[in-house]
Amino acid sequence: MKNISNYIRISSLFLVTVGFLVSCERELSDDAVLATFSSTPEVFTDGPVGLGSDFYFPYADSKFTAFSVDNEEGYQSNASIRIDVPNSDDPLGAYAGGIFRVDGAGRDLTKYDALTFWAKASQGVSVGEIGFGEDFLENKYIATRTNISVGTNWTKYVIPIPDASKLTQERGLLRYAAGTQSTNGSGYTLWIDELRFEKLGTIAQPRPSIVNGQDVNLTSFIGVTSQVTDLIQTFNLGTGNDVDIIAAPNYFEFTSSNPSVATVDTSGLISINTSGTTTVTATLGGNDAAGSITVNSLGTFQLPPTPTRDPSNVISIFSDFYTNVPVDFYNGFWEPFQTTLSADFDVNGDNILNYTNFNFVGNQFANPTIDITDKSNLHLNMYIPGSIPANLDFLISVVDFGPDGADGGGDDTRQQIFFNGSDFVADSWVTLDVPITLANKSNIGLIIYENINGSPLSNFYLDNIYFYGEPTSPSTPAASPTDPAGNVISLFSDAYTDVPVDTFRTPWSSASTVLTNEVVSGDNIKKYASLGFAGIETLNNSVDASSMTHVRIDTWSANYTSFALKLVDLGADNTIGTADDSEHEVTITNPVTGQWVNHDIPLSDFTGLTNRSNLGQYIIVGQPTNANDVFIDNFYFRN
Amino acid sequence: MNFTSKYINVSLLVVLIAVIISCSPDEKQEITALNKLVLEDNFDTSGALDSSLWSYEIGDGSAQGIPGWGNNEQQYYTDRPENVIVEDGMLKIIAQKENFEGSSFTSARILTKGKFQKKYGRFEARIKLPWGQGIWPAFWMLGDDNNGADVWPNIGEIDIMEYRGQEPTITHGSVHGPGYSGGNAVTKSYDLVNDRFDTDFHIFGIEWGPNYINYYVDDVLYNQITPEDVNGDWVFNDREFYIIMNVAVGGSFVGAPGPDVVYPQTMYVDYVRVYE
Repeated sequence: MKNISNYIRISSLFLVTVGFLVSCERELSDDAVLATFSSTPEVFTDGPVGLGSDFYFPYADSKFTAFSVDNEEGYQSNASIRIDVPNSDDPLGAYAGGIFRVDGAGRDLTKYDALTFWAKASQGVSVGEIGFGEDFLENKYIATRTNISVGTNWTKYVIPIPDASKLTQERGLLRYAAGTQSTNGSGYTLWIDELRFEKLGTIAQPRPSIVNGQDVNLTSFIGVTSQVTDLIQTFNLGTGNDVDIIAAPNYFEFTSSNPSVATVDTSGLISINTSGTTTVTATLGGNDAAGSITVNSLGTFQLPPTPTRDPSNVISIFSDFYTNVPVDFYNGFWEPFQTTLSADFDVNGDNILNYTNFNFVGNQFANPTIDITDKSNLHLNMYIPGSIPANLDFLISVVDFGPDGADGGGDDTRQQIFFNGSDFVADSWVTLDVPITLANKSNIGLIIYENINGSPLSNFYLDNIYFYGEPTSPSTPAASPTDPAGNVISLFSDAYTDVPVDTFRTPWSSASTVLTNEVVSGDNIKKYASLGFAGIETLNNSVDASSMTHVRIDTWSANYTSFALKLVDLGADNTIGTADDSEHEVTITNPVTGQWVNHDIPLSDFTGLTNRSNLGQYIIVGQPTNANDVFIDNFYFRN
Repeated sequence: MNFTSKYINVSLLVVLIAVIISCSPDEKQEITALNKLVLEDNFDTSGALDSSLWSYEIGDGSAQGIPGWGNNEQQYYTDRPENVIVEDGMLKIIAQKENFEGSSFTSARILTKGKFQKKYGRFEARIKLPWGQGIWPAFWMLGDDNNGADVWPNIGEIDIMEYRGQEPTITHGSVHGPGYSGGNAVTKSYDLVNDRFDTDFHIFGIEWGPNYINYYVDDVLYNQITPEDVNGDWVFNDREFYIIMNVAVGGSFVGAPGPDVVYPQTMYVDYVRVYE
């Protein structure tokens, strides 16, 4: 490399000298600005040309040593670029790939129309990608020709420049990626020589396109961003053959017909600002690109309900509120029959799965499969934009891969859940909550969604796909309270010294209600099974809570729909059942189930409780009556 | 041009090499001054063609007894403005992909038969060509047939420009006559090398005089054909010829139209001029 480096210095010095002489002859005015970027066309002839000493940068996951200079083989010479493509199981990297970047200022390539080279391979291969414009910096003007058929004789190849006027100072003069997809994993050698930019004069008939030249409709919402995809420039070569070049967004000029609805930036990212319709189109080098995206923005996106279940009870497949298990894919693109495409988007950070052109699709999470033995239900939120097809017939299948943990193999079982139009509301999220009835559910690997019986559902969104269990008892203790002991009168808590309590279940409590003492991770809790109402009494040592401001109690239930607490003060006579008693009941409706709920109720809410210096009775009430189990902990007054 | 396909065969190449060798400067060459303008259509009047000069040939050749115009061509020729129109100072002959009268493509073919016919002179046109697999434009001439008394190839054919849409850098110039027609025509091809015929206008012409026809593109004379070059009677000294311009789709010269061809495909003619 040292020799090459010296050669470059000499060469660039020469160029500078020529420029100087010319400028002397011309007597340029002071205003004239000399072009400062080399337009040297050669990249590699008998060696690298003008690239500097440090020009080769392999892709991070490629085999770093794949590139060398071959000093025996060459096209009408004794030197060429040699790429030793590794076997697919090579531990040092499964493919060859990298870039040639000028070690120094970029080149002015505006007067050329193609990168050309001669190539051959040790066997006939299809080389995945060859192009230019990648510099591992901004990568602004990447252009790539894909699947180039290279035989065993030297042949000239042409990679047209999508729009040479952009390449005023390009450092990325070559990019390539060569694997063994076409050779069943067997490595081979690829030689490239006479690599240079040229003005062929025969690169013509540019036909740029976006989104595969299709006119695409996109239903979307404020705050959503979408990428314009499939950016291609097609030329007709002098041979009469068409060649497609994948062109970076910066070659294109994007336009939104109604920028107040949505804007599109130089990278082709569409950002939706308000409701309405706009059409995004593009040009390349002044030529209209085939294809368009008509955005129909429905306005503010209604996010799905925020999940509330305790993460410890959830195995999440797709949700921003939980940590998802490893998922192989949300859309496996099963060929040849699947038509479903993905147009996933996010709204202010909430990712949404969007399936379009739907017939069926799968979410696979088989590495590893998941064990939902202690989970009872599948939950997902689904949104059908536009309208609900009249004959909607929608099937969700949950597949257990069986003991072999693999799809197929004869031991798979599946549960099918059917939905029709009455299960959905157009332009709204619905919650699909399905009890899992599979006998074997320790190797769940796949959820399949499909249209059946000619159902025409085409487009829908999914979010918050997770399995959950409704545990019947808490698996963790309630959070330990932090109120200072001096500010607390505790009836039941491991965190404080409790005052004397006569009973935690009076005999007149609901007959079905059974009280047991339980321990979770060393924490004592009380369980009221089949709670209707239950009395707790401190008649023998009434509690003076006159200096307290709040009553606190932690509850946990898998199945209550309301929870109430009544406080009874014995009055000045300190005797239950007399005229000076006062009482009040506060009800919490729809407390969150399956997790500890901390109720911290101002005593001022107990408006009927006119006195609280002789509290003697506390009644807890759960609904549905006699059909809910409630656990309590940390029952105390505080200020 | 007409009736059968033409290929450059190996023996023809040998002939051409001989021609080139014989074209040394000290050989007898007719140095002509063909500068007197006798016909000029600059296509400056938008609308239909000048009917005093041009006629149309309509159909797929069946009415003329040669379905596919003798070459398995796939177009149906019309005189509709969709296929032939003068606008923007140019003649446009437009090949369309459309189902029409049983054909899958339409186009146009115009000729000066009976309206402008001439023996000898400099015939040239400035043309930007269409492109794509199977597109076959031509600027050519046929000899007068004495009201049907004489038949091709005895009447002679001079192809000033023929071109395959899949070879956008190459034009072909040919003569057909008795003993050297169809696949045995005398042809030479000219490759622009660093340019193409479908991206800008180029001048295609011949200088035709007694016992010679010179072929040129722009300012490059690329061939001369004389009686020594043809394997039969020289039929270009005894009758008037008329001009034909057309765009065919498909046919034995170009093969079937490709699936990726972009339609419409248009041959733009800036002018046709004849000097003597």
